Amino acid sequence: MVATEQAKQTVEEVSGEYKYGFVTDIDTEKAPKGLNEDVIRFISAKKKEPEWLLDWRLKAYEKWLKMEEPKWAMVNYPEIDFQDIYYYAAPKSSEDGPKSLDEVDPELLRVYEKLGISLKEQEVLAGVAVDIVFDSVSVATTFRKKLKEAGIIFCSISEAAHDYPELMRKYLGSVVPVTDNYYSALNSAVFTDGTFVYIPKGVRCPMELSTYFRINEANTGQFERTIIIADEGSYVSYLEGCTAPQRDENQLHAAVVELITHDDAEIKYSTVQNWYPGDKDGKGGIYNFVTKRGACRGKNSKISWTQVETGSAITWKYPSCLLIGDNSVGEFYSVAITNNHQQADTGTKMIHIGNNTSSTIISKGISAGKSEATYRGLVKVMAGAENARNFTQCDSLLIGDLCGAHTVPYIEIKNPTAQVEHEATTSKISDEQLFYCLQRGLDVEDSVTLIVNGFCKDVMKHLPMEFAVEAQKLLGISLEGSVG
Amino acid sequence: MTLKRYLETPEVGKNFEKRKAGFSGTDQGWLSDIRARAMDKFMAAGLPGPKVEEWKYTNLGFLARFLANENFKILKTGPDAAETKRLFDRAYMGNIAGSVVVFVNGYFNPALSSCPDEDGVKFSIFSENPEAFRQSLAEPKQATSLNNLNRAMVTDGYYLEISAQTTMPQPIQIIHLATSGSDGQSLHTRAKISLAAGAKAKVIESFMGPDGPQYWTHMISDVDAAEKAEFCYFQFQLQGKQAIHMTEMHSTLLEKAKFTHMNLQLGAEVSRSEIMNSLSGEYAEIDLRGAYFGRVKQSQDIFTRINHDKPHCQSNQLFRGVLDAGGKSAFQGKVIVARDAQKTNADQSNKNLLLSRKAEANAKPELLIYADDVKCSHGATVGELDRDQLFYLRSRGLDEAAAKELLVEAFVAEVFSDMPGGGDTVVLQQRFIEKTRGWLSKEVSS
Amino acid sequence: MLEIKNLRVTVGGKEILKGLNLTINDGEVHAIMGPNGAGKSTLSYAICGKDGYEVIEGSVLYNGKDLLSMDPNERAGEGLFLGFQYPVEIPGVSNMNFLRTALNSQRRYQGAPEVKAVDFLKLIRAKAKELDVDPEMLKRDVNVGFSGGEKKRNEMVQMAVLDPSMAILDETDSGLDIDALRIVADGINRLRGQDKSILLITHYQRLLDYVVPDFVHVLADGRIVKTGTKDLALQLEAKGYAGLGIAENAA
Repeated sequence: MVATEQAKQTVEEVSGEYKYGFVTDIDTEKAPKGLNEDVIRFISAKKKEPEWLLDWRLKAYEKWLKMEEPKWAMVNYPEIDFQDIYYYAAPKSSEDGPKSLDEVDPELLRVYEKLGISLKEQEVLAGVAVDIVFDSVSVATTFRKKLKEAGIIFCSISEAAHDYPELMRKYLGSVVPVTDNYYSALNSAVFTDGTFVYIPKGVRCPMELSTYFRINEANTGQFERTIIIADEGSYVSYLEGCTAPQRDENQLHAAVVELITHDDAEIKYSTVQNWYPGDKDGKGGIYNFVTKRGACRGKNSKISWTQVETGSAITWKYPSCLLIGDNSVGEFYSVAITNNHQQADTGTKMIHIGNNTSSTIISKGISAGKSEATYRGLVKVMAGAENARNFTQCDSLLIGDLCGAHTVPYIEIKNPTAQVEHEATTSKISDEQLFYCLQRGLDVEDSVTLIVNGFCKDVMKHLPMEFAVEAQKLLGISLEGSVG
Repeated sequence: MTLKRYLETPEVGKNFEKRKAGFSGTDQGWLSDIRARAMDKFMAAGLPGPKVEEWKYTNLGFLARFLANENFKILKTGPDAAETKRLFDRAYMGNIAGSVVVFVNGYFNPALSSCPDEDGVKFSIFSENPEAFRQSLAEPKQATSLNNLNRAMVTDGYYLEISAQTTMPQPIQIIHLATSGSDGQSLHTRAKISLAAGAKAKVIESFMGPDGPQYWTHMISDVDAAEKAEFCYFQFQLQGKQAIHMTEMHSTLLEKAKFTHMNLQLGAEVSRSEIMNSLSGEYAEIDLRGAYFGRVKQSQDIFTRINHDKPHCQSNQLFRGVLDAGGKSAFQGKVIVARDAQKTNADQSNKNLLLSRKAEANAKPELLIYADDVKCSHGATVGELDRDQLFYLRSRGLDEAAAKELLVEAFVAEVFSDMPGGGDTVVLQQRFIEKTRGWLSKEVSS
Repeated sequence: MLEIKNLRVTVGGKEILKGLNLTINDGEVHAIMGPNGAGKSTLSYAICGKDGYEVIEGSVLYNGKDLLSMDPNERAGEGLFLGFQYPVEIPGVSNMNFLRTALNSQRRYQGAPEVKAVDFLKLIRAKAKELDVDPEMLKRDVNVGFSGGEKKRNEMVQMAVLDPSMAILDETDSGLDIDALRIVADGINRLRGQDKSILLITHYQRLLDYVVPDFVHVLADGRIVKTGTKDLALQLEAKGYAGLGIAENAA
């Protein structure tokens, strides 16, 4: 985002929009701690939601109560007390935030500096009360005008519930059913915000859309709900997250993302996840339990997930593709880095349903410190899916001898015309490679960053330019202190 | 585990009570205690259901029904002699010299057997000398539900011990036969194989029964290989079409020990071969290979685990599956490299061929790695025969069935090629190929 | 410039260098020859600071500075370049990126400003051209899929770009065809022309036809046992080590 002027502008502008949008009519109220029907009614009322959406939430809540927390992932964490969480808290007023960068944690500032983030942006990211980004109304207008001209809807999920109820009703929960899993049910009951995108027929979105635009809004990350619909022949590239470490007081995150592509449409969804991973001793950190799924409903449609996961104490996510339309394509490119006491159980599901569908999975896991990284993926070819193709490559790199790297693929094939290939390797940075780099003058940290970036190249090259440069630096920062 | 993940089978308890008096070793108090405790444990848990990860691909609902059968008999006496002989002749490899040990319907058959009696070799039969099994029947650390059932119901088995530095001159053939009279019965056998330092032995184990009866062969083997011991094991699973076949082999290897396991799964309606191994000494080596074939309601399940507990060990796994109409397979292979098992070399390869629209192959090749200086890899593929290759062969005049047969044979050949096994390698290799061809020629789908 | 005194080095507990003395002055080219296992590669690794090469006695001074107390990358920053006998593959890292990172790391160490991307591009293209190396090679991953000759040429390009004050070339000539050998020799001579010091470690005197050394040393059993001029190399070629009274596989 630092990389382009455009991204900067868009930050300013959407932030501005919120300032003049619904942000102002939320007062500082909080729902009481814990979860019950009243809390859900409270959230729904706050959002001035239509009746059907409240019903939908309540039904989800009812189902969630009957579900069990999943235990199969290779992650360990203390029992979560779901009654000890605030499910609705209005964003903190700016007075609560730091007054200037002097009050911000110096460790955070050091990382910003390493990432090459400008002072102004540092202030935004660190939650410093600034108004610099809000005063550019003219840019906001230009941006909004541009999307509107193209007929693109890009708004918060709450706005969409008011302004585009038919679309919302049609697509909400259509890819990730309420009862898909424990956390998707929880999200369905209590989601507080998120993004809604609709790209009309034949439209190629003229710019990368990014959640980063709304970074100054606290707490939206906790139970986010995102829906992106690409109608026939359309294209959109969507960027989620931010390379800069994000401040967040909520430990539990349970987002749901639903993507839908119709005939000949394509969605490229890129994530850089760098939530607080906890300290060196494993204290604190975000639990990131995300359900992301895309449905390639139309023929020749394509959904591509690219993710760089470096943050969170625990990551549990499997961005998936339902390849329903004939000739549809699913892709999953992932880099997951764990250091210190982080745990990541991540991967994908590629479900081949239509004919001539193909999927590619490239997963690079890097474990350092005392961390554990697991790739868990499913490739399933249904009996009626002719000529399905899948290629999976999972590589793990271990740094140090106290970490773990695991590969748990599931391959389930019911059609003989399928061609499915899975390969996995595990290795470490060799002493020879390290010495070669040192001899050429690189220090240990730079050498490791360079070698790890090389290891991840097949994934990194799929990141949009806005992310790529910073993501490379991020790999190095995430591995700080892992070698030496 | 919560109870609801398991299938309750109250009838098993009743059958156990009914059968109890006829078990081997009823005069041994310790054994009766083990049986009773194991049964209690089994009853408390039940059979693993499909929600238990290890049994994800094999629904044991049918087994629960099978175990509810009220006609449990003690089959020790009375298998049809003529039928037994016919089956024996098909299973026995006459071109391999050495001793032969035969079990019929889960019990030792002295008439057809000539047990090993070489110097440095201890051999006993469970029904004759239960005491030899005392240690191996003790409750394992993590006894699975099926392991408990086996320990409660054990019918018979063999004990083989090779002294230090002793090389068995000939392989031992172990033949398990089931006759028509075994319909509805469960045959719970056991083996304990123990090789002292530097010992070498080879065991060829064949399972055979007629089409028609549904019987359940359930065998658990424990293998201990001490320092520098070498053990070669071959399994030919040639069960009848309706049989249920489950074998579970647990091996523990000490320093520089070598274990080779070759596995051919051709018969049975439901088959599961579990091969669980611990590399507990440095420089130990293990080589697991197998081919499995399935068609018409057949389900073939290979389940392996290799625990690399010590540094410098090596493991190779090579499995090929061929599935035709109605056949289903699951390969679940797990390699676990412990924290201090540096310099581990672990490779795993699983390839599956689907010959028909109604075939299904599942694979779950897992790597769990806790040490950084290791070389571990796995590969898994599923696909059909290469159409270009098929066309090429046909253009050279082969008919479709012959062309397919040739290509399938080539596909599984890797498993048998450069097969270890010393003097009898060629004979064993031929047996693998011959059996594979037999399966193929029966009906290669078009 | 480089001054090695009584250097004793162990590898895996075994003593390989047993009190080696060597002084190389500015602008001199020295060649070290010796039978297999004499400790030739150990010497180059010890000078450059590879892990596992433990100096148990002696000193190595470079322009008066104690090399042995420095990290390998600091030694590189001081101007030391090691041409590897077996250059390592680094998948996913392009030669360009690698070299630019290396060059800027060294410049940072030297307190010099980093080289701008545009200037770097000009520099590397010029060097590639000088050495007759296909610029396409620079875009490929470091040594990945390179033939033996390509790897050695790549080392020469790196040497030219990094512009060290001293180069140690460990069997850079081994396994090269005559064209590649010329390129490598050309790279070395260009460096020599700038009054830089060079230590050639070689098994054959073939390279010395193209790069004529000022001194030739024979290393055997962890010590320098003979020193002479180019004639010594020719003598070795003609008579073998045994002919000069040096035991093969002495170590």
